[in-house]
Amino acid sequence: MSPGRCDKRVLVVEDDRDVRDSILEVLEDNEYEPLIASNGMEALEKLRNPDQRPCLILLDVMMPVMDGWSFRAVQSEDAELSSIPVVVLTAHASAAQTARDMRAAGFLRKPVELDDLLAAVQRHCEPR
Amino acid sequence: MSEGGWRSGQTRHEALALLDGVRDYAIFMLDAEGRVQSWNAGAEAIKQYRAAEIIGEHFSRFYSAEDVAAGRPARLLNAAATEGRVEDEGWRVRKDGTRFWAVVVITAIKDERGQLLGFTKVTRDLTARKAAEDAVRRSEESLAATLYSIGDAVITTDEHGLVTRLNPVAERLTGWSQSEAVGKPVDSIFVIVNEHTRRPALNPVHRVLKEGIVVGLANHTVLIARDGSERPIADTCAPIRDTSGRDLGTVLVFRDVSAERRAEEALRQSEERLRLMIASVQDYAIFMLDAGGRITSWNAGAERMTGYRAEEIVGSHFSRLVPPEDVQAGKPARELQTAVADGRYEEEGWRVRKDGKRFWANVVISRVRNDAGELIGFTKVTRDMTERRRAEQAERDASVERLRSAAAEAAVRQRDVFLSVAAHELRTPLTALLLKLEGLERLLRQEAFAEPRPGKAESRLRDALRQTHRLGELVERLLDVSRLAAGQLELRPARLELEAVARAVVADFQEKAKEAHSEVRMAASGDSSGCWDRGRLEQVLSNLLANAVKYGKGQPIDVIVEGRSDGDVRFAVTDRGIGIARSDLDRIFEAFERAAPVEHFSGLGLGLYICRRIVDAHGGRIDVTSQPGQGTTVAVTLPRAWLHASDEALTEEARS
Repeated sequence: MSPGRCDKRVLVVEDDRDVRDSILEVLEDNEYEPLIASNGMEALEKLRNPDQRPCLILLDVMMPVMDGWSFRAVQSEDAELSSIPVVVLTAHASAAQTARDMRAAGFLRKPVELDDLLAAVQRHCEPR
Repeated sequence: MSEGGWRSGQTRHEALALLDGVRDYAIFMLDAEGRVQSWNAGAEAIKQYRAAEIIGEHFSRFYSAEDVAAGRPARLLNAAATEGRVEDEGWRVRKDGTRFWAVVVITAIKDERGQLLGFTKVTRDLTARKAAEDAVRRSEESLAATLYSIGDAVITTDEHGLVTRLNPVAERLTGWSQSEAVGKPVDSIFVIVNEHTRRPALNPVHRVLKEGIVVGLANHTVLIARDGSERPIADTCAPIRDTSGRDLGTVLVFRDVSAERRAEEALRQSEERLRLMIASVQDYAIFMLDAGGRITSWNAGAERMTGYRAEEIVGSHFSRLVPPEDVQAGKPARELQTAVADGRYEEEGWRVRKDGKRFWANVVISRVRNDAGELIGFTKVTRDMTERRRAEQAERDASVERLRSAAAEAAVRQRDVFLSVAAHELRTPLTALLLKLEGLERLLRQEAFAEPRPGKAESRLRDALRQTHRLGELVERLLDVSRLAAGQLELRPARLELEAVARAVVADFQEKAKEAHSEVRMAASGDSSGCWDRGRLEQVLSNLLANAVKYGKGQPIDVIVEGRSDGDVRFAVTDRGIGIARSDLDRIFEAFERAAPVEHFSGLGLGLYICRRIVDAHGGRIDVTSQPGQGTTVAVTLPRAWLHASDEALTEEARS
């Protein structure tokens, strides 16, 4: 999926409801269309709808049911999904290394600054 | 009777009458042909014939048939006739046929013209002497044979010290043949010197001759043979005496002791080496006990180990080295009994030095018996194991220390894991809080320029407050852990209904459970009242429910509370989640532990640890049963009154 055809849709994959909601609010405030999933499995379900393909996935790493690593493994195997850029959300000190290992487009270290979050999203999506 | 008798003028008859009284000699006359002419009492006594029987008979009837056949009687008469006199010794025959050993002198009687008239015959019976002589001869022969066949060298001398005999061994050792040596002074044949001084040694023959005693040769005597060769010898010299005690000479018996000396020297050297070795052994106390347990020898190691010098301890009973309490208990005697019975006794135990200090010893007591199998004592070998024991102790201490430091390292690792998990846990609400507050700030800035939206700002502030509380709770739990680790857990007990507490907590959890697509079901039975710390029990229930929700998503969760008739109240939380492997069951109550991998489940891993500590503090019990894949039940049993506080105090507590 090319960035040109991409609208303002962002998939947030995060198991912590409070974090998820906060990100959701920020994205909505800034005219994006957030989709939410509480783990990798839910994220894959959301991605199954071709009309709802996001221009970016914000991905937490440690999640129950299906963690970020497993999600990336499935995603990169899927020809239709593999091109969607992923920005990793992590509380780990070695966030940059984790992002490289997961072959992510970028990373955001928790706690995330609002400006950093918006900058990362803007790099991949166009607001409405 | 001599011829002179005849010339003395006595008449023949007188002479015969005189002769007739002689009983020890047979004296009779023969005519020229040898017929008996006269007979005296001695003849009758010796030959048993009466005069009437024998007079006129030929004297050859006194000879044996062999002698007669050999012509001996005739030869003797001829010789006497020719020589005037003949002496003979030989067997003669009595009337009864028995023989006797006779010494005979036959003298011819001639007239003035030399005409043979007849013979006088004087016969002595020397059978007894003959027997004695034979015995002597046989004895001498046997002695000679003995001397010649004896394994030792034998030299005999006469009373002047001149050699009379050498046996073959003596010939070989001296290098002198008997024929050369006989008659020579013994000093020239038997040449001896002192082995060490090389001075001539006193020849024992002289001492024997001088003192008449048996003399043994001094040690270290070397015999120098005729060819100059030397060999060590041992000898004795004894006087030879006749039956009357007269010294006839000496007999010198000696033997070559080279081989013996070599063997003895080898043995002596070996024993000496062994003795030196034992004496010089420093690390082992090696000493001997007599059969009664008294010390008879003492080596350097024994001195070094115990502090006693040989002269201080030899003769003492070995129990002097044994602690007094063991001596009182009869241990030394038992040790010896065991050694006697089994041949050996071994133990490790305390022994006492001279200065009273104790040392840890390995002791082996071995029975020593003589060739006859009689107990003659014991050897005792003692090794001071104090150092080794200390080293072993040090090694044990070191390994305990290693374990301790390994445990400390594990604790550090565990703490590091905990810190990273705690940081993660703290960052999550911080992320939400930060985004909320920054968003709120932007909102307020925008609102300054646009239309105000107070509802939106209000709700975000509420959320931010909630996040802050969440952070506060996390910090509180961390503090709990540090308090628990320090062993402090303050309880504020009050009378309460556990069922009511449980219902309240369950109600609080319903929302969270719903998010996890689970339902919490509550069941209660019996009287659940007791005296506990409400806040702490809420904490336990919350933790158990949080785990049940976390690990049992999508499945119903059951909470039961039962008041039991045995005085306890029990509550249990059951989920139908991933369960816990048996191998993990023991450690889940430890701090920072969790059965599930940390990557998949967030949380501090402190929940069950805190639960257990709270339940322990109430005097209760917490049990977990689980089947992997089937679910987990955590049950808590609490005594109704966990301490024997007075009702007044409890009422007070309840009021506060």
